[in-house]
Amino acid sequence: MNEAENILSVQNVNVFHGSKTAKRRQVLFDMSFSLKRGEILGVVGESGSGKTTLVKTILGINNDYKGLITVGCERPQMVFQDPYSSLNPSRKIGWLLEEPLKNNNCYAKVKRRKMVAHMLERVGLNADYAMRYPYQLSGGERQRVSIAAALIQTPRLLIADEPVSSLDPKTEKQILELLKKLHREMGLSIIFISHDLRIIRQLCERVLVISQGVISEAGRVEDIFAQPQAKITKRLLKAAGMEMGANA
Amino acid sequence: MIRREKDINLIIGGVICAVLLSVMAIGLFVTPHDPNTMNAATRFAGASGTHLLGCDNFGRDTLSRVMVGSQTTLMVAVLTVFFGATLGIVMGALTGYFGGVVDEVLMRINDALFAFPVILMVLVFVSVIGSGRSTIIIAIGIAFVPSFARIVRSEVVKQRELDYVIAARLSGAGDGRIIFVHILPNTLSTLLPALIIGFNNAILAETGMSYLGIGVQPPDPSLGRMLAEAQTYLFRAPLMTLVPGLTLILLILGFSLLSDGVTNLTKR
Ligand SMILES: Nc1ncnc2c1ncn2[C@@H]1O[C@H](COP(=O)(O)OP(=O)(O)OP(=O)(O)O)[C@@H](O)[C@H]1O
Ligand SMILES: [Mg+2]
Repeated sequence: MNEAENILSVQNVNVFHGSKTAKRRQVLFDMSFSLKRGEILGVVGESGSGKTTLVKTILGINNDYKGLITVGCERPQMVFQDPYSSLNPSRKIGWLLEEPLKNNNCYAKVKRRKMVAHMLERVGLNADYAMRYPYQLSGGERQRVSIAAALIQTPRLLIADEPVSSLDPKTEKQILELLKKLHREMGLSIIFISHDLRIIRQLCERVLVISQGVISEAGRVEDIFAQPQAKITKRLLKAAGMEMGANA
Repeated sequence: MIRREKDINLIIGGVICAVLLSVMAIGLFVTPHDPNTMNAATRFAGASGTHLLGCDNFGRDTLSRVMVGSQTTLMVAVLTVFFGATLGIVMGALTGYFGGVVDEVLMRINDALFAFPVILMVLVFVSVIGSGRSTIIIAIGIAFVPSFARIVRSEVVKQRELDYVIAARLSGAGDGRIIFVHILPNTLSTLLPALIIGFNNAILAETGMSYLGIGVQPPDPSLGRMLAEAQTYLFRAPLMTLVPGLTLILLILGFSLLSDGVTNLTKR
């Protein structure tokens, strides 16, 4: 892999679910792709096609795989799909956001608190949300806290698993703007999973279309949306009301 | 409706425990009489102005002895639960989190311990390190390890798959920190009622062992010892049996109700 150019390379990766003995089954088949530094890659596919599995494997959370995965940065971060299980219920938001700063840096408490307040404001939350517990937040607010927790570590690579699917249009726009801004300003590389092809078109340069654990199609967003080859891509475009020609 | 009932449990249990504990607490500083001073003149004395709850076969004041004796019983129970729960929690957390070989080995040890009758365990310890308070704390404590280990293990197994644990790992937390700082607080709602029940069992176990003469040694009073001493004089001086007996019953009842109440509280 070209270390200088790629922040991530995935080569012939096969992933399995289930324990070794009981019902181990293959979920992803021979996947290969790479992500350039500073690029936003969209991943689309129907429910159950293996999107979450793919990114969890990239982050080393799922170890039952064959193939080669090379991540060219320290501590890539992830925003999880389910905002209800991604925040520790017994800790306050402030504590959760401070945690990575405690583990990886040696900032003084005052500095950490300041960074937390600043980060909360960046994702559109009031600084005194730091005093709340996750159960006192709505789904959308939780999702923003998840995003804040990932971004406070200033990662080079961010994996966002349907980060805006539980948000209202206004907040969705705000979050997408934030991601775009970070991408522009910090050269953040992003893998963005979504059902919503409109968001993919807004945000991403390239896209992977996944169907039943296989990459059906990959390439520049404009090309693929203008001239979809795979059946699944056509179906997804149709579902999003973005059939060929309709938006050209 | 059910919620109401449980709230009442909490209140009644709380009141019983509060009253008993405050009488005990007073006994820490002052008792009506010295609990260990014998007096031939007051042997088997009934309730009176000077000896509110009568005297025992050596003429010692029963109220004073119950005040001090229940302290001993409670202290032994607290230490037993502390010892057993600490070991059990650590064991359950490690096995639940790591799984695999660690899990297999530790859980088999656990099963072996579980299959060992408590009384036999205590007797083994007594024959090796002699009878006394610390022996029963260690022996009963060890007997408690498996139940706590199981509770914590099954909770940790459930929790470790959740996204917040993955998020903690991505935030750079090590395994130890993930287990004890991130996961363990979330097992508290299951653990708390188990701790209270364990505490009740410890009280009963201490009482039983001391009753059999292998726990707290004379002349120190404990509820179990007092019951053992009283049994010969059941009809001659019924207060001698009734007072420690009722104290024990109320103590257990109070904590059981409290445990029910707490279980319900944490379920909300
Ligand atoms: N822990 C697991 N154990 C066994 N099978 C799993 C596990 N997690 C996911 N799977 C299976 O793997 C397949 C892919 O799941 P995955 O969560 O990656 O889908 P997805 O594309 O993220 O779907 P969605 O859009 O609904 O989030 C599904 O068939 C799912 O049932
Ligand atoms: Mg998913």
